[in-house]
Amino acid sequence: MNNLDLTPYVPWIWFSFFGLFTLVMALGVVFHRKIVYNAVFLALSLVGTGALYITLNADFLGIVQILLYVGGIIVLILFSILLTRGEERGVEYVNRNKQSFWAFSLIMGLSLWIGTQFWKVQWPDANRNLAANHWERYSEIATIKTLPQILNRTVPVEAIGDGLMKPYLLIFELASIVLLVAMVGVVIYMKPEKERGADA
Amino acid sequence: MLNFFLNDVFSGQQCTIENIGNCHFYGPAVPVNAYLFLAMILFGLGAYGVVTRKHLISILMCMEIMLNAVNLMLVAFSRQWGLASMRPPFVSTGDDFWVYVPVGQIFVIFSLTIAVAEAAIGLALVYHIYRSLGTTQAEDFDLLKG
Repeated sequence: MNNLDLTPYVPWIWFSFFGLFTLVMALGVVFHRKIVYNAVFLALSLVGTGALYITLNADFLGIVQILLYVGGIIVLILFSILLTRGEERGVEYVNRNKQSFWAFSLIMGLSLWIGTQFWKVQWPDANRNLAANHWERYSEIATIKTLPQILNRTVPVEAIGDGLMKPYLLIFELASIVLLVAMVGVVIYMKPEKERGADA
Repeated sequence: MLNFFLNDVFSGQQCTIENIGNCHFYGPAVPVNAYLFLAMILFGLGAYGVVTRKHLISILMCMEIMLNAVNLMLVAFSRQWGLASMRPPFVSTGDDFWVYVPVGQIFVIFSLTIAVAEAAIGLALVYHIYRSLGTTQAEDFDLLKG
């Protein structure tokens, strides 16, 4: 076992682990009957997706994913489940009939087909080709280290903030307006009828 | 904290240009197609859940899975095309330098924003429907049925 060198396969090991984790937890969300278990499975699936972001050199997005989803949306979903629970404990939550099998076959067949079409595409492998060209051209020159210094490294938060503040500033502000409108709308919508009529 | 992915897993040393032969991180990375394949499977699962689940909050959760699949695709493409070579302006000679162009990650941030708004409004709708109709089953909402 000492000769076993897993070093080239470490990215594949991480990807397989977190990908299978995310997939199994998504299966739990889709197929488990109890809805609180669905919420817990969804939380774990989102954590797995955040880990996949981290394997894609997007550490900031992974952290934001875990904070925002598991800290915000899952809590919201759990509270909604607790608020809307009641007399429907014996109700079947999942459609199980002849159509569901064909729906599963059709949707998963379509998804797998599109996924295999992705496998056939030869994407211009930007990073690795750039690296190869770089090493061919500049391997003797010791002063140029810029590309290996940033290749396969974590994308810094400064780059994301730069993009948000310079070229995508308008969309950023529009997204904030959308959030504000959604929040105010939800607050007004959740008021009882009497108070809502008094306000508007 | 997250230097774990920057360092070599086994030796723990920082990956630099000197020890590039020992550094796994310059080895073959997982291709973007693997991430796209996984995202397609997740998207299909979420779509199937949206079609088959009866509880409204379950449908919202499956929609979250679909949104996450799309976000995963965006992040994978961002790793694929996240670098751009720049050349200093008005200089014909000299070395081009490299900058990060994380457009996919920026789009994922916008998508997260919309997902949060969607979840808030959707859950508010579910709760309002529950208060007025007393059920959260999707098949019970046939008020508009002719």
